[in-house]
Amino acid sequence: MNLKFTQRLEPYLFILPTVALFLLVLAWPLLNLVIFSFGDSNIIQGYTGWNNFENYKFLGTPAFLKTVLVTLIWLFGGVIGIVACGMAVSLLLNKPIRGRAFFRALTIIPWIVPHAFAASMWSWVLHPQFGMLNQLLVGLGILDKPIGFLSENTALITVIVVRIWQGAPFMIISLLAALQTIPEDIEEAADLDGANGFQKFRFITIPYLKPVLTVSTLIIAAWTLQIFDTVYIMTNGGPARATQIIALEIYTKAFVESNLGIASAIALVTLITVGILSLYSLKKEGSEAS
Amino acid sequence: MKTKSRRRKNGVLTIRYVLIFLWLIFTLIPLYTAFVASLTRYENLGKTFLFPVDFEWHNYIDIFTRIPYGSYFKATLLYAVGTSLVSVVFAAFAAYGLSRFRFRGKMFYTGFIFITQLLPQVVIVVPVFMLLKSMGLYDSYLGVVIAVTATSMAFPILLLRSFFDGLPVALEEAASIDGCSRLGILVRIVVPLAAPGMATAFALSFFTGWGQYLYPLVLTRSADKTPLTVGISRMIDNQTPWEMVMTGTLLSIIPAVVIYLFVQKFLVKGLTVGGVK
Repeated sequence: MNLKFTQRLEPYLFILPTVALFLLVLAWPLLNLVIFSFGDSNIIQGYTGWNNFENYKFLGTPAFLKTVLVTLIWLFGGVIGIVACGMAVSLLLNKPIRGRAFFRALTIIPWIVPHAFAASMWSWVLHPQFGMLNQLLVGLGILDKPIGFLSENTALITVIVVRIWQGAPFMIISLLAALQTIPEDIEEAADLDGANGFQKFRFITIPYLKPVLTVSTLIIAAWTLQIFDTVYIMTNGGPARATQIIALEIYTKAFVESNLGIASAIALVTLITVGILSLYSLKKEGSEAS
Repeated sequence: MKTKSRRRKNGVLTIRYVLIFLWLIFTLIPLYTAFVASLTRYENLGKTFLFPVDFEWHNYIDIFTRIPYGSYFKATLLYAVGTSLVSVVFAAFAAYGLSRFRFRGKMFYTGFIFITQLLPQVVIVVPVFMLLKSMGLYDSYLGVVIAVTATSMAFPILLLRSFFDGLPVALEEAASIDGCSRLGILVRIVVPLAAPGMATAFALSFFTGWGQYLYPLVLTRSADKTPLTVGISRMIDNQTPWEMVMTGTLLSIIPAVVIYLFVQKFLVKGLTVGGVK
């Protein structure tokens, strides 16, 4: 009897440390967010009083809707760019060419560069006066004079390109691994049947890659939404809020404007949206797989 | 006929190499530019272009006096080692529980782990900040490590779980008959057998801890708790000493790159066995 009880308890002992950690550092803060979002709140005192959904009303203002738009462009631009580049580079590296292992090792490097350092290095490459990119483009005669890559009209595209630089390596590794599971005889058979390169890509490569591609794309999307440091260091959301993504908006509201209520409301709504969307896509993926 | 197709093949191969080189240039340009700037004197910044005009190796010594680099480095190392130790130990327990037991709430627990991967740090950073304050852990190494570990725990758990799933149960049964406890089995049999998985999980958590920015920024205040990421990017303002920023940046990336080169084979293998599933 006693033994049986211990046996039933055993699995819980193994997951106990992580459960405790999750409850303390994730669940408890999330619960607090719900409370903060329904009233006037600040980071010193927390919740100070009911304010009649004032925080949630902010989510309908033009300023916030622009933030949502910027975030969507950031998200889709980043993810589409990463998938496209990841696919292209992994296909390029999938043939037994000379130096492949070396190329692959170099390709992965951006993945291990911390975001903050990627931001500082790219800020220097793109520097309006002294940056190497401007000098290169002017030197080659492509530009007449240096341009500001982080000015109001260009900043969002620029940070998306930096995001692609950071995110593509993960995609390349995942897809390269998946590409290697494609049996050679299938491609040989297709060759014999006279299939051209595009047909092979469409009817052999894509179906084989699909499961890995879907999962990796979801992971990349989640990571892209989580990013704070790259954009914070490169542009701090500016100029004129051109790169103010939701992650920065939450930070600004909480720490700069000291409005924890609005920050919490944004955080919660974002979280719920992301949760529903990813459940939906996982379910869709699951039903397609079976 | 034959030469024509061969020529075409050579052409395709050339295009392949050209495209790969273009991608590598894009990949390496920030690192190379940083390297050139790190060898330049402040007054010559912007005069350098593709090649360094000075060879001011002294920058790599000056960085230690211009900013408290040593102290930043120490804090970064503590965060990285702390995060990876806690993550790997906790994840090994959780992964073993998930891999070898059936229990009520397992689905819910697994689902929760998945969801933690979606949670942006910035969403909960404020309540975590208040929580650590009330626990007296604000501005402490431990506070940052706890916060970082919780948000980055999911990946090591799922990775180790799929490693453990792949191990034969027969060995463990034999050990259990010989009177070995569950804990003993985990420590003496499962963990050594899953060494590549443990190494991968450790390396990944190390990189995670090494690159943290937001949590140390918000959850600490004193100079000795400031990591390299925060300390170096703080130098960027109107009068940025870019040669110092680039020197510091490169010095801070190198340890991660060295570790990566050592574990590269493990890492790619571990990721493809465990991660993408």
